[in-house]
Amino acid sequence: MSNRRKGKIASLTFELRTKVNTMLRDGVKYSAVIKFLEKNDVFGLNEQNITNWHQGGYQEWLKEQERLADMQAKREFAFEIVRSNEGSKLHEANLHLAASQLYEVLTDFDLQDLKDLLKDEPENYAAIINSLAKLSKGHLDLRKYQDAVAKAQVELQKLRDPKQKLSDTDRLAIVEKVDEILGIK
Amino acid sequence: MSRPDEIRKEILLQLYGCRPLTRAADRIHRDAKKEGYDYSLFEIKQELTFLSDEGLLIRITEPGTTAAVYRIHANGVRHYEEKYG
Repeated sequence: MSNRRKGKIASLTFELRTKVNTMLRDGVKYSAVIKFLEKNDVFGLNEQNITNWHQGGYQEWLKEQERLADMQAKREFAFEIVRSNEGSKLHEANLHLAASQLYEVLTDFDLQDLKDLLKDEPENYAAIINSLAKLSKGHLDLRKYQDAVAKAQVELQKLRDPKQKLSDTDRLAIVEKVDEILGIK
Repeated sequence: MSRPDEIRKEILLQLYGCRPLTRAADRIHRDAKKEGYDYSLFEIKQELTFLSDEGLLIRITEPGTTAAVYRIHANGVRHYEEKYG
């Protein structure tokens, strides 16, 4: 289907290629990489082959791994939010729907910045997470949910500046706004 | 790699990364743009249809709407790992 790279390393199986990339990421010497491959019945490679891969395919892999790691973190965070807040009462389809919606909100943020900002204020973290998670509670109204997420996202935009300190007024306003949108208060 | 192949790779990467969650075409397009790609939404949708027809993605219509979202199929996971991993 595609014209992928055709070099010797690129032609390895997924498992071996991943292992080679991992070794390069860990700073393993090229000679050791070659020995590893020979132990796995891959012969005929030299250090120039490894160098070429390191400068090309490995760099692409590295960039993609960073993206995948970021996506995974946000995906798991979205599921954590939904499951830890009455998610067990949800039908699996609704759980995925809720997590998918939350994932889209999270893709706008640097997740680590958000967590760092809130880690010293656990009471606010819990309040915001609970508010978001209540979106998936019981009978899921999709339109109301989408609207509430969008509005909550506007409020959470303030948190994008990691240097910005939340005042007590800001924190209360965010929590109250989300609760108001959801009809909780 | 041809342009359609590049777009398919980007789509598969995004859906592989967030599996088993679903994403809509406009979100995939938005994130591809963030990464510096100049794919149009039309192109993204074309390749989403192609990949779905190939059995690598699952197309789902969101309840209560006509909007389509996509999730990677197990075949898509294998394909991504073998081709691009």
